Amino acid sequence: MKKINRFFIFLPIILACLGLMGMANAFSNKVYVKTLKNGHYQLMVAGRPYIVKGVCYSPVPIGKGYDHDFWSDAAEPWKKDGELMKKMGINTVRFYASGENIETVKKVVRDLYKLYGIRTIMGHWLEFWNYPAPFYDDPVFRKMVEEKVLAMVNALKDEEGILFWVLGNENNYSFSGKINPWSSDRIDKMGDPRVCLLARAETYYTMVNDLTRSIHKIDPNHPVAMGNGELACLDVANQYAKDVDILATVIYRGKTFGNIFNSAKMTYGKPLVFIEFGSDAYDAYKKEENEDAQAMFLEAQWSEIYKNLANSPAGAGNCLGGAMFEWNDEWWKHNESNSAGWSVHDTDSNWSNGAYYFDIKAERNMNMNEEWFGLVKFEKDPEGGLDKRVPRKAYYVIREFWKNPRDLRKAEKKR
Amino acid sequence: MRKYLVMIIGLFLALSAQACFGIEAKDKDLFSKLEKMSAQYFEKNDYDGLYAELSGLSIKELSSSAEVYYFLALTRQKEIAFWRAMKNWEGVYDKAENIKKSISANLNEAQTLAKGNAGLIFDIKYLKWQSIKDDDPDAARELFNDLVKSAEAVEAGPEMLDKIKAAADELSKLQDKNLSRRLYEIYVARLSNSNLPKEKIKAQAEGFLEEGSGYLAKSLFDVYLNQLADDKVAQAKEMVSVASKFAHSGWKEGLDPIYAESMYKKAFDLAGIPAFDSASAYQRAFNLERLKEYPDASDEYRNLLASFSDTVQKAEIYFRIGVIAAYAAKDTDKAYEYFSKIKDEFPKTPYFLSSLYQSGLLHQWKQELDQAKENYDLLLKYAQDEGVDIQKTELALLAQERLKEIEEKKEIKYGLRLFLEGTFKSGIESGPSSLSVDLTGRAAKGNIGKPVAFVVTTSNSQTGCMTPAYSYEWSGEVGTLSNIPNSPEITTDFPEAGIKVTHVAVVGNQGAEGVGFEMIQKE
Repeated sequence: MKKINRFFIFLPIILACLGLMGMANAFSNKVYVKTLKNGHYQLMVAGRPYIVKGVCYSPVPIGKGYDHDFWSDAAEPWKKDGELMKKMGINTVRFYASGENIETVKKVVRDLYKLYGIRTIMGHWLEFWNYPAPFYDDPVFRKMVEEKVLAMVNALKDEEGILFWVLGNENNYSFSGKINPWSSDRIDKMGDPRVCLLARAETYYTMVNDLTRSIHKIDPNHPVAMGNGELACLDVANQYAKDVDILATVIYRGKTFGNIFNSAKMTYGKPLVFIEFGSDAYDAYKKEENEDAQAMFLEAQWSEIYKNLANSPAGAGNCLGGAMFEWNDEWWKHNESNSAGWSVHDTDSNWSNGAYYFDIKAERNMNMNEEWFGLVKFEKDPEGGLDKRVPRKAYYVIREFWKNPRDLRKAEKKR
Repeated sequence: MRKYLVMIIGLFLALSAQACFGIEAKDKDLFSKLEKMSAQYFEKNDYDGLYAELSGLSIKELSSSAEVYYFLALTRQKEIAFWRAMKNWEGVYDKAENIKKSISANLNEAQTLAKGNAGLIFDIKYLKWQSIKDDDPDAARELFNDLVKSAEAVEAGPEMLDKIKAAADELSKLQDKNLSRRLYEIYVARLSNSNLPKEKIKAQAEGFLEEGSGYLAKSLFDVYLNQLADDKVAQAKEMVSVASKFAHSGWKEGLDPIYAESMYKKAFDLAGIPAFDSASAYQRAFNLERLKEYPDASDEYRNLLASFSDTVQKAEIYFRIGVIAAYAAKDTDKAYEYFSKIKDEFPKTPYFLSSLYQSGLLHQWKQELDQAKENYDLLLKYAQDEGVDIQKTELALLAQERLKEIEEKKEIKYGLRLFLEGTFKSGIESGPSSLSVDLTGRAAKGNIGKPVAFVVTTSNSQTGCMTPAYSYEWSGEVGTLSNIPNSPEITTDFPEAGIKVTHVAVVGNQGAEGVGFEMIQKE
């Protein structure tokens, strides 16, 4: 009898605990940006500060191309990769876009989170590579983009592993008309190239802002980031994309991000996350793999990210972390239309960037090797299974850095 | 039982090594003997074997030897370096922690025992720095400072100097340029204080230059030049001579053309024109031209003409000034002036036809068609008079092409027109489509028959992989290349002597976004 009485005494407490656990579960899904008293920004996940220690993830195996549906890969590469990522300390992957079959996407996001605690940044191209062009000034086109983006958000917003959404990826480089050009009669009539550029920027950023507001309505639990190349045209975004939560940038400035933290703060004022940065591991000048340079560049970059996190004493305090480009080498990238090249680890460079000084003396200064950015390299499995993952030096160097971030340690000493 | 077996094996190894290499306690040559012994093991990457052998030595009568402790540490450091070379990152980052502790302990022991042995202390400190430089940059910085202080403090005999230089060379190869320079500076300072005669210092500097140690060579040349301070003109002349070793000659790339110009400038500031002769004044101007410092190059060419009016390169220099005036300074009047000088003074040189073509082209661009025609006609007439085959010679063919455009009232050919528009029309350089373009041909001077490789490099503000696609419109003198590819790189040859002027326009989807020109000299 006494036992039964005791049970009834504790029942409300048990029920309250269960209720709180349920609330906690709902709360754990909430991701938001917190503005601290000192004006710094912190990404909050499940009520705790979260540094994005991320990596861009596109596990296309040797011999497959841009059209490979890795989401449906029977070999489930994300499990091998997730295990390695977890050991390294990676807590976030960035996908450029969701796959066609949303159920397979959900499974990957869920596996990564449930098995390895790795959260997902999910992107959307905003139909940038639509043929013949992304006509962002056309209301019908914009409607189509909105439907696609909201369909993706609706399908994935309840996945626990989702961290935030990224709209676009360097789409702003199209404003000048030099890359993937798009326009409209209205814009073309303006004539002056500079005026046309600004009109395209206004058009695009207004669309991104509208999309952000629509996402906020259906998913209040995940922030919306805007994927911008460098800081180009953010003065325009500052006027027309005020509702965006996070500035997500693609940056390749070599060992240092330079003035980007303060510059982003002054021009756009949003918290900053890098959705692509890093270094390739191939020396186009000496024509040999260079794991040392990649590791050195990445460590220097992470050091600056940590200096500019919230509450770091000397930095801008607006950085939320970043996603390195990228987890694995992708052998299809040098010439995506040549399927024979997908089985070859090409050493020809596709672009030039003097900030990667170690091999800028390569012919025509073409030093960036698109197929050599991986933290892990692939080796073909002779039995046709999953390609063997071989971590490069950077894998270990960044692992060690995250265990004991040097600039934080220095900051502690100063205190 | 097993313990005794290990001890016996250790004792056996120790005794055999001591027997093989004649190693004894308090041995004056202990370091070099251990070095010799270690080298054999390092060659086989047998680090455990060497460590066991050295440990055997250290537990015997050599237990108080700093050298043995040093080599114990070196063995393990080499093992980690071997893992790095083999890209065994798991070894480097997961297994090396305990090894690093033993390196540190052995080095501390070695340093305590090595008192008074400056050379060994330098080695120990250098190894200490090496062992932690990747793990703890702050501590490494302090250790390196300590190493530098030690090197500065000790009296440096030849052996110590060799150690400092070897360390600096190694750092230089590891791309730790700043650190290597700090050691090189000590090395140079020691050499300069060593009462070596200046000729010997110069010879050493030249030796370093030959072996590719540019920084060391420059530092020693500075020491050498400072010793000539009593005679300013002599000092300035020697500066010019040193500068010429680093400047562009055209036949090959300069070793350090910026350093060369700084020396030329110093020499001029010291003694003025008397520091130079005609050849060195020419090389200074040419070096500036290759650095694309066109206004300064033009000034130096004109100074040369003023100071050495009898220079044998007068016609060539007129032509270079004319081309720079036209396509860099966009000053067509000055260009005409210098091209006219060639017409008046040097009608028997290869520059005569070139200057007629360039004058004609500038007039044609400015729609001064009568003057353009006059220049082209004169070019063809002169060529025929001289027996030149005008159906095969590039300049004559170009002149005929231009004349046809004039006669048929057509626009200048597309690629060439784009280049001229990009050069002379305002807006391209400052507009939203602006692009920095560099066109460089190598070698800038060469014999007929030697190929020339032209390369266009561009830069823009985007840092990612999404870079604009451009097409490349080549024009001007492009030599024997018949089908010019739409490529930023071409390789060609010029069958006639003279200076060839080649142009490129880099074209995006909004038209020409940047232009470049280049002069190649054939002899």
